Amino acid sequence: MDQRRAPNPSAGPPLQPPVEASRESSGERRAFHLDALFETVSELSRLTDPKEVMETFVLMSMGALGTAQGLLVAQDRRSGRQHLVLRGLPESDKERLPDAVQSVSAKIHNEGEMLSRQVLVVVINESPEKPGLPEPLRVVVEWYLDEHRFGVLGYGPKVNGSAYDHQDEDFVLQLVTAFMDALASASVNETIRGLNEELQARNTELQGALLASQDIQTRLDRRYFHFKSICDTTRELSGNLHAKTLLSSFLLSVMGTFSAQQGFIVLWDRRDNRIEIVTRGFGDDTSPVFDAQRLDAVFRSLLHPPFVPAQGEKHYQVLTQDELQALELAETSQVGAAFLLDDNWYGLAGIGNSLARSEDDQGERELLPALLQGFLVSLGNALAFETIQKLNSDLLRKNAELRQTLDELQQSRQTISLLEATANRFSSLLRSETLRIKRVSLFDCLALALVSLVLALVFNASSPGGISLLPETWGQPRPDYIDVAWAKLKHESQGALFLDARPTEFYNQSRIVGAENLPLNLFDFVYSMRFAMLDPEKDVVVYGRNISRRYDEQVAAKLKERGMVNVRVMEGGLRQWQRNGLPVEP
Amino acid sequence: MTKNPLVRLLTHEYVALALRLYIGGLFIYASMYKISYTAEFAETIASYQLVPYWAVNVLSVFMPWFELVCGVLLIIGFRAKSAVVLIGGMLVMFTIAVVVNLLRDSPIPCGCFSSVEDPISWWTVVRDLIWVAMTVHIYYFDKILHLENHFTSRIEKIA
Repeated sequence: MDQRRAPNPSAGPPLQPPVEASRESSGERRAFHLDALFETVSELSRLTDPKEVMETFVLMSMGALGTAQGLLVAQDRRSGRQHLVLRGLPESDKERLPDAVQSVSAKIHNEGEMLSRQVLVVVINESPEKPGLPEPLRVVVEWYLDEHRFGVLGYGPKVNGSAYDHQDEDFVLQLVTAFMDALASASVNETIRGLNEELQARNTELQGALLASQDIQTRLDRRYFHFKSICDTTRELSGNLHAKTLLSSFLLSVMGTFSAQQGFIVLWDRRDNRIEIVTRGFGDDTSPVFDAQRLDAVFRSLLHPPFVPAQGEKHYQVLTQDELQALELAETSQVGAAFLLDDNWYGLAGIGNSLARSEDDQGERELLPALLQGFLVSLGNALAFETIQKLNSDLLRKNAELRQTLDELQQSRQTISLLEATANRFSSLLRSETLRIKRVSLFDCLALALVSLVLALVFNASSPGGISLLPETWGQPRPDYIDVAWAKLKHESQGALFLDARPTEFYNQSRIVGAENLPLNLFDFVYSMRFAMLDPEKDVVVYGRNISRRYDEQVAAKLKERGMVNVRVMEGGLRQWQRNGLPVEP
Repeated sequence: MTKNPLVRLLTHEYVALALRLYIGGLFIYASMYKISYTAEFAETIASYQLVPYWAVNVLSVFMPWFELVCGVLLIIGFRAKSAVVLIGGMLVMFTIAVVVNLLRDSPIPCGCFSSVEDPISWWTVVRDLIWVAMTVHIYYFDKILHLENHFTSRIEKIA
């Protein structure tokens, strides 16, 4: 900058004559202006910082113009920033400079559109009257690069006291144009630099991400292998429901996963004192031997607070080398674990002679617990399955017993129903009988009559003194009848023998005049005494019936049996005879 | 003692018991002859001239046994109420029959206990009426020494 200032005094040689000096100085000044412009453009083109561009421009342009005061205000509306360059002016004017830019902004807004890269000289050789601009300024130029960047440029008076002429004005315009070009280029360079820096940062991040992804891929492959091992083991174990085959499958899976050549696993049923042990890859002399005492000692030493779980929960513990040595298993096993399912089932497992053992690998350390967890779940399932099978067989037997009990209960219920019904019927019957006993009932009377009738019939049929229930006259042929009128004629003509068949008491009481008495109950006796010699051809008229007995018919039948051929029964009997007024004796 | 001693005597349950045993025994005795000589009893029934001729034989067979059964049940105290009612009915029937034949002036024997008896008379009617009165007394005042009561009390305990 000082070198730029040095040519200034030589540019104005005051010693030459005014006329010749004026013509010569005019050409020289033009050459000087061009040279200064070239230098300014060359200098500005090398700069990349907009602020440096502004400061360099102000200093060089002040030197070329021969002034000691200058200011430049640049407004970047896009970023909202404002750059100020102030030379030879008091610092207090800095606070008011934004007002100058505001006026330019208002003008831009009012005019609607300003042409790009436009420069407007608003003050020349006068004191500015606009707000915000310092008083000493003599030249004020408003410049407009684009809609985002614009500003104000101002210069104080020349140090030699002369006014600014047209050449100076043209020179300022050219300078401002060059400045705007340099400012645009610097902005572009700045943007490119930012993008480049950002791109480098992104590249760095990308490199880091690639490295990280490679690490993650490696770990993921290992995790996948572990997960696949666990998955295969679990799938193999989950379908196995027998404890011994389950132990064998698990041991094979673990040995395969760890590339071990030998291993063992023991399952101990404390309640029943049963020990299931599976060994692989051991010789006869090196195979571990377990019995109840040793297992009890093993777990007694292990059953300290961290190992004893909550009641009934599954639990396992991976054994350390020290613990393996304490249990005398370190010689044959590099990795070991103790586990228990509940209070009853304890287990111990160990694998040794691993080909790919890596002590520091976290995944390897986590693999055995995961396998153990799956194994314990499957073992619990197998033991539960055995229990379920036993319970199912018990349940089947109990179901059979229950079904039988239900059948018996049903039969008993039916029997009870019948018995209750019977009891109810008996109770009601007895109660009704009890009530009925207290009074006379038609049923009782009929029952007594029926009993009497049955007894009577039976006795009558079986007794030698029994009689026929039907009247005798029903079985006899119908006798010959004679009406009362004819009987009267025979009686008057004494042409017939009248016989009274009634008992003697009734004969004595009343009879037909001249009638003889032949009672039925004394027939044989009376007949043999009084009528045995009677002429069989004689007419005989028999009478003497009543409502209860037909003595006349019976006597007539007996007479016919004895040969009498003209026996007749008088219709109407003694009653009709008396009704006709015919004679009777006492 | 508002009751008259005579009334109390006549309504005593032991009097009823005595009458019950008398009437029961009477009917049992009467039925013995009739069951043994059914034919003669048939003639006796016929002599009353009240029963249709076709029913005389049946009645002569049935009546004696009916008297016997009622008499036995009355004495043992089984269905005694019904038995005494039936016996009373039979006595009333006999009384009516005797009265009818007395009005007819029929020269027939009573036939109650044997076929060789004096003819019916108004004394026969008086006797029958006395027996009817006895049956009424038994019906209303007889309560003790019933075989049925023994079973009844036992049944009530069971029920």
